[in-house]
Parts: sequence; C-alpha cells; structure tokens
Amino acid sequence: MHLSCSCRHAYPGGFRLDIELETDAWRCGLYGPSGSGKSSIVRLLAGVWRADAARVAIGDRVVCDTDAGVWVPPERRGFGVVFQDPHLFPHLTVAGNLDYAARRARGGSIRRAEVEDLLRLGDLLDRRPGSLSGGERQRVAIGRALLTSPALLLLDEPLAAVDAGHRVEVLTYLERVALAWRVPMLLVSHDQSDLRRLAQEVFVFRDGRVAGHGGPEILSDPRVQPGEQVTNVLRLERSEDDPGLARLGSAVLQLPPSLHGSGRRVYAAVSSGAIALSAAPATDVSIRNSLPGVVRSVVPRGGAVFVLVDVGQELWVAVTPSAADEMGLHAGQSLCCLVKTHSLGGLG
Amino acid sequence: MAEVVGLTLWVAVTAVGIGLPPAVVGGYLLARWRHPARWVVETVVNLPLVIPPVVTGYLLLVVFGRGGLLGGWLESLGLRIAFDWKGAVLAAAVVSFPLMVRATRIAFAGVDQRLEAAARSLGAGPLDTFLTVSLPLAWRGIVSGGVLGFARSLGEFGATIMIAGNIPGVTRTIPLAIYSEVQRPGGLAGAGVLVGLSIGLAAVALAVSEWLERRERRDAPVV
Repeated sequence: MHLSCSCRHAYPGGFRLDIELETDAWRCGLYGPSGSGKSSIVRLLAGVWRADAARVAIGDRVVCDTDAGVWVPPERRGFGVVFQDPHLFPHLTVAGNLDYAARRARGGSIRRAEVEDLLRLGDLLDRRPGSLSGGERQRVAIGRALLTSPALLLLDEPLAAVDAGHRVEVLTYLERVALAWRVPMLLVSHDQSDLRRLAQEVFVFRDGRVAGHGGPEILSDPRVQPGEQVTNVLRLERSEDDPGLARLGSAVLQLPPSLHGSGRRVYAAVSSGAIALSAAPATDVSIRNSLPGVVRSVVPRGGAVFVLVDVGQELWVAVTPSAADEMGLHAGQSLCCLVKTHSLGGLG
Repeated sequence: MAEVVGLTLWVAVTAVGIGLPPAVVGGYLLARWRHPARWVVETVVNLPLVIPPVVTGYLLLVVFGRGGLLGGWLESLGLRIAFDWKGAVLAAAVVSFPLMVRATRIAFAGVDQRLEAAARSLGAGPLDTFLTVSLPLAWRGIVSGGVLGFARSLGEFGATIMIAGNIPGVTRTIPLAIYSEVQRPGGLAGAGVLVGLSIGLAAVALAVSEWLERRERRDAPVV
C-alpha cells in the first residue's frame, strides 16, 4: 500500500496546517498532541472535510486533488473509519449496524462470519448500542468498518473513549485484524504506547506540521519530541528460567516485580534521564543492569545533551553538558549504559 | 354535526398529508444548510406564523381565486380551489406549514451529524443516508410536528373563510360552524357543543405530540 497525502489549510484563527506524508507502511501511525492537525488529516482522508489545497492518493487512485478538481465523495472512497466515539446507529441493533455496512460493501473479501468470530461479536448481535460497554462498542465499530472491506482503515483515537481496562483488549483485536486481513491501517493517537504496539511507521505532528517520521522509535527521539526527557522502550526477551530476568542482545537485565510475568516478550519503558553512562563496565555500584554499546550520535538540546547509544537497539540517554565534555562523548565511542532495575516500567 | 366534524378532520388530515413531506425536506435543509442566505428562507417560511391569517387568505385568493394568478389556469385543468374544500385544505396547509418545518428542523438538528458521516463512510450516498439514518432518528419529532400541524389545521378560520368561504357541507369546518352558529339568534348554546369538541380534539393532539417528544427525550442516545 502506498499512501500519499499533502494538505495545506489556513484556519480562521490563524492556525495553519501544512502536511506532507508518504508511506508504504501497512500500519501507519499519526502521533501528536491534540490540536496538532492529526484529526484534520483523518477527516480529509475520510472525505468529510475539505482543505484549501489537498491531494490524497492511495496506490494510483486519487481520491482528492484540489488542483485537478477531483473530489471523490466519502461513500465511494472505500475507506473504513472508526472514530473516537464509535458512532453506532442507535436505532439499529448490533446486527443491524453490521448489516448496514455489509449491504453496502462493494465486493471485497472480508466475510461477516469471520469478522463476528474474530471480534467476538456473536453474543452482542441482538443488543442495542446504548447497552454496550465502551470496549464492546468500539469492537462493533471496528467490525462494522471492516465489513465494507476497506482499502484503508482510518482509526481516529479509537481507544480514547475506552476505559483503561479495555484498551489492551481493543488493541489486541486491532492487531488480530491487521494480521488476519492485512487491511492497511492509519492509527491516530496521542498515546505513545498504542502506536508502539501497532504502528510500523509513525508521523509525529506538531503545530500543523510533520516534525518527523520513521519507525516507532521516533517517539523516543529528542530531536522530534518536546519535553525535558524522552521515554525509551526496551524490547526484551524473558528468560525461560527466571521470570525476573530478560535478555537484550547478549546482556541480561533484572526486571522490577511489576514486570515479572509470563509473556515471552517484555516491553519496558525507561526515561532518558534514568540511564547513566560509564566509560568502563561498572563494578562497585548498586545498578544491576549494564548494557555495552556504541554511541551513534550526540545531540545537545536545551540544558541537556542527548546521546543515542546502540546497545542492540537504540537508547536515548540524557546527560549534563559537563558530563558530556568530561567523557568526551562522540559518535563511535564504546561505553556502557547503566539502567536501574526500578527505573524500568510498563508501557502505558 | 357529524358532517362538520368529518369535514374538519378530513381537511386537517389532508393538509398535514400535503404539507408534511415538503416540511420534512425543508426542515432537513434548514437544519443542515449553513449558508448566509438561510435567514431569508427561514423568514419566508415562518411568515404565515406571524401575519394575520386573513392576510394569508387574501394572498391565497389573489393567487388561487378564479380571476387569480394561477386560479384560472388551474380551473381550466379541472382543479378548482377557491370556495371548495380544496381551498380549505390549502389554507390549513399554508398556515400550519411553518409549525411543521420548525418541528422537523429541530428534530433533524438533534440528529448527530457524525452518525451521518459514519453512514457515508460505510458506503451510503446522501439520499441513502437521509432515508436510513437521519429520517429514522428524527421520526418522533416529525410525527409530533405533524400532530401540531393537524391541531393548527383544526382551528384554521381566517384564511379559510377568505379562500374557501363558509359553505355548509363543503367548506364549513368546526371553527366556521361555531361562527355561523353564534351569528344565529340564540345560537350561543348550540355553539357550545362544537366549542367543547374543538377543545377536546386540540387537547388530544397536543397530548399525543407531548407524549412523543417525551419518549424521544427518554430514548435519546447518551453522547
């Protein structure tokens, strides 16, 4: 799938939107604070909003081009949309909502029985949307959008109205959907953990522009992210012998009790400010986890110096300018990242 | 008496039957249309609500009377409006139209536009969306608008007497019958029965309308 979208728009309040994005990722994420222009892009793609100047194409199909006077109405774009609020039709049952989409589907390979099975909608069919929980509603909305066999599934903050306990559940269903049908997805979120789990490529929005894009690790990049610190996410593999230990490359980390569990994969979040650098493997310190690595780049920003270290995956470490000076930090340098066990946390 | 009541109900039902469909379309357009010229349309539509019904009747007579702008032409087609029950229907429809537009406009304004956007994204065209989402979600408001228009039609007097006259058995509805009765010496008592009937019908219509609106509020989805 190749999606290209460019959009320029001046809002009456003075806010300007100037977005260019091109992606080949099957699961693409848009990240940014509210008011950064993410939702405008979704509405542009969905065909419910017109920008001053815009061009949108999926593959070689152009659905909107203000210069050429092309505007495909939403019902003929074949894009499924799941909004923040599920927008289920209140006058229809769950089955009625699904039928509504299935009857209007133009061909496509996604079958009703499969959708009901995968999203576990079977028990909900006779219910009215008003009697469903937030997570159930969002599941129905995802199923309804899927039944049109969309060329692209737009997910605009689909987890924002879902309570914390059901977020992971809905995310898991989205992952299953992505695997089962390879539906291209565009996920909009202001939550990093959603995007780290689901997106292959992330566009970071700030003030109506794309501040940067790349793999999910861009979410930890201090050159793109504002704020004093950035959050690194370590993808670890749990030891088979001890649930409190996990491997990262050749190094072994001790996990805090909150991350003791059973899953093979462990995602551990650690702030750039909670990692120390040491020129030699540290002995005589309380820090248990020492990860050998190589400096990739050194980025002074504000009152700190951010150092990108490759320890088998890339980690951002924030140090003081004086520490950076004294250690003579430079790209290519070998050193160790010291990570306190209790500075490791869960995702989201 | 039965004849008068029957004619009145017939005129009111027909007036709503003719006026409600365009009122639904007009109400929808006014609820969704965001054009600056909207207020002009709204003013024109609401005018019969505030101008004296006699003036409405006069204008109808100018247009639909035998020597009127359209009246002669319509009569050559075999459609006689002035001093016919059809004139009474036209008068009732015109006078109750703004009430029905207002009710349907409010009903459509209460339909979440994002539901309409969702329908479009699922492949429904604009007309499909109107028929399958907007209309079903607004139907209670539309029905209550129809009931309101019906009640207003029952009581129509000024415009009716201008365009349709007061012909027993043809255009004499309850309000006109009350007027005629009172004109007769000693007719005050005879009019009382008709007055009671009139109040009763209007009260039932209002109660139905109110009941529908209450149900609508109760069933409204929590957003």
